[in-house]
Amino acid sequence: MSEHLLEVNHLKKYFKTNKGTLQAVDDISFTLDAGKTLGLVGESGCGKSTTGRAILRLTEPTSGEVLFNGKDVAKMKSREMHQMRMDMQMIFQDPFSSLNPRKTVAELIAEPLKWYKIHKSKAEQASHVSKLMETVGLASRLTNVYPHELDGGRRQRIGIARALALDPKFIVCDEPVSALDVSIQAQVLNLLKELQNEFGIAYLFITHDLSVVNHFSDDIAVMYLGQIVEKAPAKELFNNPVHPYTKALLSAIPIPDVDAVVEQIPLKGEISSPINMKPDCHFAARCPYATEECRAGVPDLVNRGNEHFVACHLF
Amino acid sequence: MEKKYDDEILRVENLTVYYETDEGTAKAVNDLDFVVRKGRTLGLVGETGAGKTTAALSILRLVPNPPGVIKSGNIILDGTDIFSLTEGEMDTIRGHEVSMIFQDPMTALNPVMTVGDQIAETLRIHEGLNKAESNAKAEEMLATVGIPPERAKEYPHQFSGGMKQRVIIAIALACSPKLMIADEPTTALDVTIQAQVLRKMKELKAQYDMSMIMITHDLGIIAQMCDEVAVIYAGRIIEYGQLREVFKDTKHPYTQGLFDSLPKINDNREMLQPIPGQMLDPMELPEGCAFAPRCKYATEKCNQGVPSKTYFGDTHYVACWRYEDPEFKL
Repeated sequence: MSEHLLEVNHLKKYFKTNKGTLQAVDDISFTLDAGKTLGLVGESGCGKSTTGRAILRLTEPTSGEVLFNGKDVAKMKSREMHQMRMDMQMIFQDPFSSLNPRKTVAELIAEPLKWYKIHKSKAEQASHVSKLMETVGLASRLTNVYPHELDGGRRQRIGIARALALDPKFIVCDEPVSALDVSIQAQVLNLLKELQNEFGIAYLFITHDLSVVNHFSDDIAVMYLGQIVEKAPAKELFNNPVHPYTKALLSAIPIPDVDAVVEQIPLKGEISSPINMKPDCHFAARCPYATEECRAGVPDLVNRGNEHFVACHLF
Repeated sequence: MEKKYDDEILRVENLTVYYETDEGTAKAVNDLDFVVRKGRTLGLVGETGAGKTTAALSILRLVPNPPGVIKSGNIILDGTDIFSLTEGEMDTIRGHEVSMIFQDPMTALNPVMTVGDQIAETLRIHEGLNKAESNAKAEEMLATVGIPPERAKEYPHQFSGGMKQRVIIAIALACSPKLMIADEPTTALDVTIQAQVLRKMKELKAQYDMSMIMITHDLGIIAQMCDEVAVIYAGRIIEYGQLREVFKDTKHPYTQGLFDSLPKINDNREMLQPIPGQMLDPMELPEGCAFAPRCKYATEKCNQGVPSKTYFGDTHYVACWRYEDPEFKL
């Protein structure tokens, strides 16, 4: 029995394309404990969503282990996996396209309950649905409305209610607030936090927004081109970023304060192609400090103390 | 009405724009007043549906009609009332005097035309350059925005999002406009690329001595780019002032609510203070202050009539009934 709720070891997800192998997730390892949040940050195309999906086997991992309560999810048969999914849920980014437009709010929230035959009677199910609606802050008058009648924040609450329906221990939140306006974003973030405090759910919180992830996470892992380049407790990462990419990423956030003095670390160029990558530091091409050594091999993720892990040849 | 300045490029007065549909009338922009001065950047900040984009489109007379109807208002561009112009005269203003950068670089370019041709087209139409001249200038413009000129012969799909947005900036700048309107220019981009694009825009604005209207929902971008700020809610400016005034001496409960909703980079794990409720449907705006239903300071008075402006100093004002009481503080 593993002591961690979730343990991901050497997870890889490659896609075959006409041009070669796309290394979306390239040897990622991390652990997550019950009731905690790991923030997974990075820019478009860094493989953060694929990581989340591979853990839930919404896409089959190419190799590696995903231990959930000590059992390897990646090797489970489909029936076993079906049961396992009760404990492992997902909240999707886009509340506009992830809900069936022809179902009412109550029907949408009842779906997972029906799928797992949780309730024997309709009445029991209906009362469970109304309890879930109350938990996520959806007014009962919305029971029979359709998603298109609702704004983004409320739709995202439906997604959250669906994910909560089966009392999961772990939820992958894939950019759950990116499509929402700031005032609504704060409402949804607070809700997720309250649910975590109440039910002890662990989150893998995937986002490109560093200020959101800092607010929300216990630990943060920064991804670049399929690999984790830095991982540390949230405070430590923000106060002492070490990897040149993390530093550049942090310095690029526009701060809503007229007196903020931020020395921007400009990055050269753009993210390179994840297809047929060389065994080097993938960030070397854009790194202001890159040396010959950086192009010679993939740097290991090394613990520098305080649970602060960095993958960089400079250290 | 706004104070007169000698160096104003754009003056918008009492602008009201409705979208009249079968389901009802959406009051997108209501009695908007603002001024953009030479060489300065005005930020329009607000959430989805606040009317920011409609206001910008009105300046170019591009509000789709039907359903959009400009109910009232004047837009004076460098001394000319644009509503008095013919469609032909308006064409010479668009792209030449005023140009616009749209939010989504993925859809704003023509996919079957090389990027060089798309820049050159603008120059041929507005500046009357011939083919060779316009092509040469197009390459020069690409270099200006930091793209190697030899890529002029490539198509948009060969460029990344950040580079496409720079091509759009090159098109917008090609005819040296007096005013550039940027509508969420970096929303579709990653932060590191956003930082590159914003830096470039700032640099070019100084180089071309332009004025700019920056439309965004991101207060961080406003802090970085703007001189003046107008906070818009349900189609009205609810607070206006110099950047520092609005950020350091915030007056409107909505503006304060926006700041409080933002997760702060350096205070971890605290509950955020969201603004309760949601933005009203623009088809069902109340008679009083549109923010009143979400406002913790609201009183009976707030439901009766649109709040008038209260000034703090020369430029900074707030549209909030509570400031009728001189003792009122947030």
